[in-house]
Amino acid sequence: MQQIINFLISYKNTLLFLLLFCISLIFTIESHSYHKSKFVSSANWLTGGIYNTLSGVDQYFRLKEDNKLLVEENLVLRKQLLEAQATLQEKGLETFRIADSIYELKAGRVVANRYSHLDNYVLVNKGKKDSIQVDFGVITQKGIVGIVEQTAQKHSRVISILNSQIAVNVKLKKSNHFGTLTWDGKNPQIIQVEDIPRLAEVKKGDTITTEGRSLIFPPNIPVGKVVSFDLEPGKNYYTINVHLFNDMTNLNYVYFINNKQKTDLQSLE
Amino acid sequence: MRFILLVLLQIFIFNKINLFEFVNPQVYIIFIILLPFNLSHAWVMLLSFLLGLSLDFFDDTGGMHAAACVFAAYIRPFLLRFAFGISYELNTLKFNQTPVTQRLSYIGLVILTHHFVLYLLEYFNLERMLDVLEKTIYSSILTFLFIILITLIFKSKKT
Repeated sequence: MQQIINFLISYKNTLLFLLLFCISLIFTIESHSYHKSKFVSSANWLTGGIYNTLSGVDQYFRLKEDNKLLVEENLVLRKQLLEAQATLQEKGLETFRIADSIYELKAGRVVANRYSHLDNYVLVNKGKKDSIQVDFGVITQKGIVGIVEQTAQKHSRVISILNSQIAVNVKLKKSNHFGTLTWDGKNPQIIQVEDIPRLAEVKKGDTITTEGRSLIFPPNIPVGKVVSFDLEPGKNYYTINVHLFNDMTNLNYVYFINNKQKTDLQSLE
Repeated sequence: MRFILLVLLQIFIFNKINLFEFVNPQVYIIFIILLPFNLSHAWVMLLSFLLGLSLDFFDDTGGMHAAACVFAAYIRPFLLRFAFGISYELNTLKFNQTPVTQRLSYIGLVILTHHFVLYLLEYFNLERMLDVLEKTIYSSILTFLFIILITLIFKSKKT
C-alpha cells in the first residue's frame, strides 16, 4: 500500500498530465464525429453572448455594404415576382399564396465565422427560441452556407460547407448529373465535387447547384462555378474544383430553410 | 486577469488574421510560456488545460487547444532545462535576465510543440502529415514574431 502511494506521489505530474490529456482527446474525438451532441461548443449562452456583443460592433462598419446587397437581392426578387405573375396570368390563375409553400424561411445573423480550420463552424444568433431545429439548411442570397448542427436557446451552430465532415448532394445544372460536395481544407473559396460520373460533360464555368434529394436544401440553390476538373484514367468519377458563389470568408445575414414536408417524408421512409 | 484578456485577444484579434487564409498565430500560449518558473508543475498543467479549453469553446475545436496546451505545459520543464541549463535547476531564473538566444530557443520550442500537437489533432489523419507540417511551420513563425513583439513591449515598460 505504502508503495502504491509512493508511486502515485512520485508520478503525480505525469498522471495529471495523462488525465487532462485524455479529457482533451475525448473532446477532440467527439468533435471529429458527425452528429453527436457535443459538450464543447460555442453555442452556449456565455460564448454566444460574448460573440454577439462584439460582432454588434462589426455591424456598423458593414451597414453600407449590407444595404447594397439587400437592394441587389430585392431587384432580383422583384424581377422573379413579375415573371411569375406574368406566367400565372397566362395560365389563367390569379395569384399564388405564400402559405402554400412547402418551405419556411427565417433570417439570422452570423456572429462568429471561421474558415481557417479543417472543420469549420458558423455561429448564428437564432436558436431554439426562434424554433430553429437541427438539420435546417442555411443559405445566403448568393449560395449555400451549411446545415444546422446544434441549437441552444439563442444561438445555433451551423456546420459550414468548409468542413471535412459535411457532404451535400449537388448536381450539374445543365445535365442533372449529381455528385457530392466535400472540402479538402485548403482554400475557402474553392470546394470539391466528387462522384460525378465520367459520362457527364463537364466544362469550365458550368454551374453547380444543390440537388434537393436530401430534403435539407431545396433543389437549384446555387453553389458555385467549375474552375477545373480532373478525370484520372481508370476512374469513373470526376474530381471537380468549384469556385463558390458565396464568399465564405465574409458572411453576415443568412437564411434558415425548413422543408415542411421533411417530417412527413421521413416518416414514410 | 491576464488569462481572460489573452483569451479575448486571441478570439477577437489574432483569430481574425487568417494570413493566406489558413495561417493563424496562436498568441495565447504566451501565457504558458510566461507562467512563473517556480510555479508547481501540476498548477501549470491545470491552468494550461483551462486556457486551452476556454479557447476550444470559442473556436469550436473540441479539445484540440486543450490537448496541445496540456502537452506543452507537461514538457515545459524539460524545455526549460534544455534551454537554460543549470540556472533553471538552481531556481534562480528570471525571464528578463536570461541571455537572448536561450530565451528565443525556449519560446520557439514551446511554440513548435504546441502547434504541432494542435494541427496534428485538427487533421487527425497521418496521410495529411504534410499539411500538418506546413501549417505548423507557417503558424509558428507568425506566433513567434507576435510573442517576441509582446515580450519586447512589456519589457520596455518595466524598465
